[in-house]
Amino acid sequence: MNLLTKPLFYLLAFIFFIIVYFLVKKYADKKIGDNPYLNDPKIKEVINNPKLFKEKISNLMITNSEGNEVKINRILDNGKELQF
Amino acid sequence: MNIGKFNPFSGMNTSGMINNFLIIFIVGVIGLIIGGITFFLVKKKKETKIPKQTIIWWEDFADKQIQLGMDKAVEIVHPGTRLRAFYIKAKDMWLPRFTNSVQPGLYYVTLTKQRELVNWVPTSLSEDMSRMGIKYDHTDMLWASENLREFIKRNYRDKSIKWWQAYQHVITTVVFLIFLTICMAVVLYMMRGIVGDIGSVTETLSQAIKTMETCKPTSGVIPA
Repeated sequence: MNLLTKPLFYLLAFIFFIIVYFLVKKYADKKIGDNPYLNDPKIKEVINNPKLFKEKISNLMITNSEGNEVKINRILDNGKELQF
Repeated sequence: MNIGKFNPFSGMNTSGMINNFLIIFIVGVIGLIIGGITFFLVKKKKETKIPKQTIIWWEDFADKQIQLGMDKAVEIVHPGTRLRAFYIKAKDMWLPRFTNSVQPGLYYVTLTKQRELVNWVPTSLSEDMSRMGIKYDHTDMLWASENLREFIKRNYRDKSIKWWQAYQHVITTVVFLIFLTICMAVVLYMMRGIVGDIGSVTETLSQAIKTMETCKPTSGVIPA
């Protein structure tokens, strides 16, 4: 007996794929949530650790027009210096 | 029963079973692939729904601002707090969420000579010029603009206007003249018979007058 010769096998395989699709979709919706970026390990690490976030902002490096990475002394927004 | 020749799968088609197990295994693997692709697509779809913030970097360089580049960031709200931040995934860079946007989702940030990051919005140029006391007039610019438009019109045919639209006045005049000529020709053709009739009537009338002049009155009032 070879399964490939049975039409029922193809029907069952198709139903299996459909079930897999819907189950995975439902799982992904639940697992990922509204903002998939919050599941990113790098982002998760920072948002769960305020000290790390402060450190990242404090040690901000920007590449200037000469190609050198410069450390930012302070950040001004709306006329005020941002403090973290 | 010979124990040495005992085969528990005797009477079973073992090669067929192995084939079937292999087929089911392949179906399972395809199911896994479908699941993986579905998960990836759902994630990508959700990522595209998150609005991206554009940050344009500038630098104060030699008394003017030059553009350094552009980055796409996502806004991250720290759970349980009101703290919002921008995250640039391509550079793994965290930034505070800037307040002033040029338009929704577009931020200008300048790196000053003092190594400060400044979020800014370009103000009205007219207002700045008025505040600086610069006298300026738009007349010259408007004149130049109009002059240029006319120059282009003169030297290049305007493709947006069809030829019959461009010459519609001439075409209307020509059609009107042709129509008038035809009308005049028809009227003159019809008048030809009338003019011929008028000639015979005139002749008859002149004969009648001559007859009246030669005729002696036999009754009525005789003029003195």
